[in-house]
Amino acid sequence: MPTPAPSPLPTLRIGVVEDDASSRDALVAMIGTQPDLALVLLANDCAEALARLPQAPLDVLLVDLGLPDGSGLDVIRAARMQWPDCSILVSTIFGDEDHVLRSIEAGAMGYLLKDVDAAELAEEIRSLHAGGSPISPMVARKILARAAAILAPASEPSTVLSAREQEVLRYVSKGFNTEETARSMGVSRTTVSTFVRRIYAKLQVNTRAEAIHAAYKQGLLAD
Amino acid sequence: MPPTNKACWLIRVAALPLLLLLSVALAACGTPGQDLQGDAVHLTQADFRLQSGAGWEPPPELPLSGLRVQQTAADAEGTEAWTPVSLPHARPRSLAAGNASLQAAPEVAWYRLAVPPGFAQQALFLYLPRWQTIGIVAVYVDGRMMYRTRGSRVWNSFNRPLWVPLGSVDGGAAPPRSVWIRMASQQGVGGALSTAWVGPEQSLLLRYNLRRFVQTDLVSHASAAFLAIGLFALAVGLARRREPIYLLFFAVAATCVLRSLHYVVDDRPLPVPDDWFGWLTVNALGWSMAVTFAFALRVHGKRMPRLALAIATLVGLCSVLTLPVPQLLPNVSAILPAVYILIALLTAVVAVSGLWASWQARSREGMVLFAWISLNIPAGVHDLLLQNYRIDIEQVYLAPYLSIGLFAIFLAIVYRRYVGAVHAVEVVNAGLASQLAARERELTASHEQLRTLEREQTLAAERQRMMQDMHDGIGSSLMSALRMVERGQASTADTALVLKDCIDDLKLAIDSLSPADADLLALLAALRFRLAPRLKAAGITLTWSVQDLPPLPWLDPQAALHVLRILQEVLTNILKHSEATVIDVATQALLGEGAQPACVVVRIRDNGRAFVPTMHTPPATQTGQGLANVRHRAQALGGHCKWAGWEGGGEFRLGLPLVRDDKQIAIV
Repeated sequence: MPTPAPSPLPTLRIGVVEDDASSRDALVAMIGTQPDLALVLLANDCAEALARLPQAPLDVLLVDLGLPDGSGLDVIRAARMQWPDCSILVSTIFGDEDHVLRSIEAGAMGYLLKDVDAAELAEEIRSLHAGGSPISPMVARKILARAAAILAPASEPSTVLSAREQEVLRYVSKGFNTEETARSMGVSRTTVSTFVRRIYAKLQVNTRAEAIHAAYKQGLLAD
Repeated sequence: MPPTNKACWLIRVAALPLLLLLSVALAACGTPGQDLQGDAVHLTQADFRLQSGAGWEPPPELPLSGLRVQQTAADAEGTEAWTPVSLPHARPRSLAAGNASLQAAPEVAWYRLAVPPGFAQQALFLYLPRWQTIGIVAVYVDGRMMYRTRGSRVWNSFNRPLWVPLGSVDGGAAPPRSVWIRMASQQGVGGALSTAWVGPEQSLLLRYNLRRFVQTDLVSHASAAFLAIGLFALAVGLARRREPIYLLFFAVAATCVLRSLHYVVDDRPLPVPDDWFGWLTVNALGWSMAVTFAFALRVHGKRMPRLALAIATLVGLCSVLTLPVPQLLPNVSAILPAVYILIALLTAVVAVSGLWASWQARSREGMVLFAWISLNIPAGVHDLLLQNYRIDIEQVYLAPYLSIGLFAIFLAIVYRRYVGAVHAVEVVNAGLASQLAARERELTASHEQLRTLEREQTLAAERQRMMQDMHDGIGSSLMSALRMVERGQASTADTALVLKDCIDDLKLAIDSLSPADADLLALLAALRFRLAPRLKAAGITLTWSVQDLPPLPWLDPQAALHVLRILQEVLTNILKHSEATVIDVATQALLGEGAQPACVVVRIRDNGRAFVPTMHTPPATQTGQGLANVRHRAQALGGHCKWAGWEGGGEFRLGLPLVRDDKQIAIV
């Protein structure tokens, strides 16, 4: 019985939900060139994405927010419920804080600027799957402002940011990148990434009830 | 229905049953009703005799039995024997003899009433509806005095019905056989005695109580009510001096009470001397007329200064002349009837003038008031006749009832005024409230207009800013890319570069829109985040040496975009021209020194060729245009910029004020 040759990198199963044909083609082409990435889901709109989601497990899902028949946020929520281990990236032109924050609340773990080149894109995907979540100063700033507005005793402990998490956000909001932040805090880059992931996860908690409601609506959860 | 009309209607409705009740009561008192009689006996016959030479004070006990007294008296006086008379009986008053003083010997009259036999074994009572004289009255039962008047001889309890227990029939005691009534009167004033009733309590009590109520109790209760309401009016009047109607109302109440006092005096001695009491009660009639006149002036609104003066003078003169001071007029009692005539005249004048004025002024209140006042004349005649025993003595004095009616009319008038005033205040208040609401609405509307205008201005300014930025930035970049492509000079890489610039421009414009909350560092962070991929692609290391900065309150989106564009231009220039491999961005807050105000500085150093623009840098070139833009934007921010060299390469400094001078901005 022949044993399969061990591949140097595990293959990542990628899903793409994108309505713009040229962007979609660029993504498909980029994935095709990467040996460790495999396209398992391709959808043009919301309905198609929701229909195909249950068909095969995913490692990384790229979602565009502005879909012709609905919001990419619904796709993100559905994917979150269907494949909890899947890392979801929202692809955006400007990476403005409003879009990014809403995506993170829906279950995304990061965002991808559409104007990055193919090599960067592949790198981002791998980094995300490995546990690195990008965070922009503007988003960090917004999350900090929100944390300050929440009265800690009144909130669930699971939604309150820890002091270290807030420290990360403060560094990022002042323009320091991950290396500089890690150095200033005396931790590794991975630790900083872990903090960012945790922060994102806490943002999702606030909208989990909404996600469950959406899942019922989509028929993804049995009653 | 307006409240005043409603009040008037209510008063009329309430007055109707009252009048009805009163007339029924008067009828019941005036005529002996057989249904009330029961087993009581109505005595309408008596024996009468006058006794000469007797003193004022009645003897506590007659020395002999009734029969003996009769005989003895007849023996002694001879001609003055008992004569049968029918009750009510009156001895006429002689006006000529009215001067005799109370100290002179009295005229003593005896009435002898026989108690018919045959009453069952129970307590018997004598009920005498009325007697009248100036003097003392005593009642004897079988020779023993059972009752006597104790108060003033003049202002005695003449208007109170008499209720005397005759003793019990039971217990083997002999039943009462005769009742003797001794009436010691001032010489010449005469006297009168009504019919009498003898019977058990339950047969007579209702009759007695009814008469007492009609003659005295109702009058005294009404007086108390007048006084209470009058005092309330006084309090209101003192608080509202500009409305004398309330004070006049009090005066009406007070004079009505004074006027009614002598109808309700009882058996107890008066607290004031007789003559003062008389002066008070007689003159109160004049005073009440004068006050009524003054009140009426306020009701019909006519001015009658001469008549008012005449009435005031007359009443004043009358009051002074009848003062019971011996030095003034020795024979006051002689002129008292004249006073009554004068007051009757006065009443007629007041009534007629008031009716006329009310008619002129179409004042219904005035008409009602004076129609009622004119009733005083027939009522006065009735009372005068009654006082002089010219009509049935069992009639009731009408003057107190006229007072009650008058007072009720006054009350209605004042009530209407009061309710009308309250209503007027409510109307005025409602008007004020609606005016206020209208003004508030106007204010809100104009405020809303202002806000809309402000919002429109803000939007217009924002639109203008975006247009300007697109024109200078993306627009011109796209135009140059278009030209290059059109001329066929553009390689794909060049076109991509221009388009990437455009996207970067757009990203910075978007970043400038998100609120930085006066935090310059947040803005720099966004810039780094945006430009980092390009710098990295160009092989340039960016070091970040920023320090926390004080907030810049003026850092609105427009100012933020200026800052971003300045730094973008500077970094792009380094990227294009300096061949640097390291760029360091640092921030610093500088405290103000002397004329130099406090500011924050953004310093960008590179390790490439230092770029120091001269005054001669031609503005027509792209670099020259870029420098001009940077200077212009720095100036617009109220800051300054400077290119220089340092030992390691080039340096750019952007100084920004902590507080922006708005005047300066306006000029820019």
